[in-house]
Amino acid sequence: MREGVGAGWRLVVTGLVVGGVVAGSLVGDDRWWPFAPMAQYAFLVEDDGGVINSPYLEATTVDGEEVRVGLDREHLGLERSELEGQLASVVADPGKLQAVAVLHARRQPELPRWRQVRVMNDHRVLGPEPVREIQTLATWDVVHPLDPERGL
Amino acid sequence: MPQLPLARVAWMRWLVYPFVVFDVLVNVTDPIPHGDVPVAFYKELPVRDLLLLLPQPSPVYVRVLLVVIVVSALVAATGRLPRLAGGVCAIGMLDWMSNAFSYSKIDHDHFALMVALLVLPTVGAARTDDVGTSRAAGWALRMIQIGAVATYFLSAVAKMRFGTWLWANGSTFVWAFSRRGNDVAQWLGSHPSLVHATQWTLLGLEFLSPVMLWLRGRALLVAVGLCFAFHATTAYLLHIHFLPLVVCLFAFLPLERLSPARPGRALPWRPRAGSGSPWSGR
Repeated sequence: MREGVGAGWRLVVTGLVVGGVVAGSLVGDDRWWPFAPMAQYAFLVEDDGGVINSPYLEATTVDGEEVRVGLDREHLGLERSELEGQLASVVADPGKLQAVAVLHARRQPELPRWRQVRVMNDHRVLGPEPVREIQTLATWDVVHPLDPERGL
Repeated sequence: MPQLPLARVAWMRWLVYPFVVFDVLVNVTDPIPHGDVPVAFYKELPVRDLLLLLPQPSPVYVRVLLVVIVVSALVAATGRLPRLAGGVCAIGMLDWMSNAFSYSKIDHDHFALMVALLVLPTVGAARTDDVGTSRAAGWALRMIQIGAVATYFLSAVAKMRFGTWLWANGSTFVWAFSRRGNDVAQWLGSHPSLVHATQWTLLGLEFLSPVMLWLRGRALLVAVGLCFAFHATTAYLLHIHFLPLVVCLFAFLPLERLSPARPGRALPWRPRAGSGSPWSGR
């Protein structure tokens, strides 16, 4: 009897886990995690005409210096892929970059604050005549550069 | 459910739980800096709603959570309080990982590990010198194996869903190499036919991966070895190691043979000469 009960709930859990991850792979998206589709590197980049975008962040400090921002957890505390995941909303609303300036002030208080933040993109098109250009996707003049928290 | 050695469960606890400590302290440390990220970038996953963790975690919260995970993992690794410590560790890691993935970057290297954390506490007491087998151990080990295989097989399914059959003849690896590859990766990326061959090979192996659930003996060893070699290669070329999945691959191996034999006691899990070892749980 006890063995049967143990087998019963284990069967249910097996069904939920396997069913969940299969369903996530067939019809789900990232927000289904832990049952999200195994979608890393699952997209198609065509040999001819395929596009490779590598976004990155630049900033102008209050001292006027141009800097490339370390988009990783050790420096800014936000990774490039995390910014990429929200790129569309940042481009649509560059005001979200105020939050990035705040994050920089919180995480790297010893460094000069930023006056302006820019989302840049290293854009490549594959093919017999490859194209490469640097694009500016969004620009934001930081509100209260010396104390960006006030501009949130 | 197959009968598998309790000793293998104990050894898996010695592998999985210390890995959890490494994972939160070295590998996935994002929740600590995430504590400083303004709420504008917080996109909580629905699973966090189920855990009643709606607000964005504060810096203090994530640090307390870190301590809870480390302590529970260390206790669970020793086999003490396997259900309580293992359960706390599982819930803590669900919180930790869903935090890490609530800022619009979701990796799929943790699925098997999350399954392992869910099922390992259900076995109850298990020691590395246990000579017995049980169905509870069999179910837990089989679930970890299924979690690992699902990661591979469903990666191929996702490639077909998002990249279509054109994926293998495309330049997805060139994309990856150009963004984070080393010099060898850059060289590989400049040879399209080599890239296509590599992509076809990977796709084929991923689709074939469920076979691992039925393989035995040397064939299973070769298959697991292939998986290890694949992950070592991506770690070298791209700095992507998939260690949470690699740890779970050990559930396929006869770890119980690491246990020293006790004088006068039989080791019932040892196969008789000429018989196939039931490593994978058949």
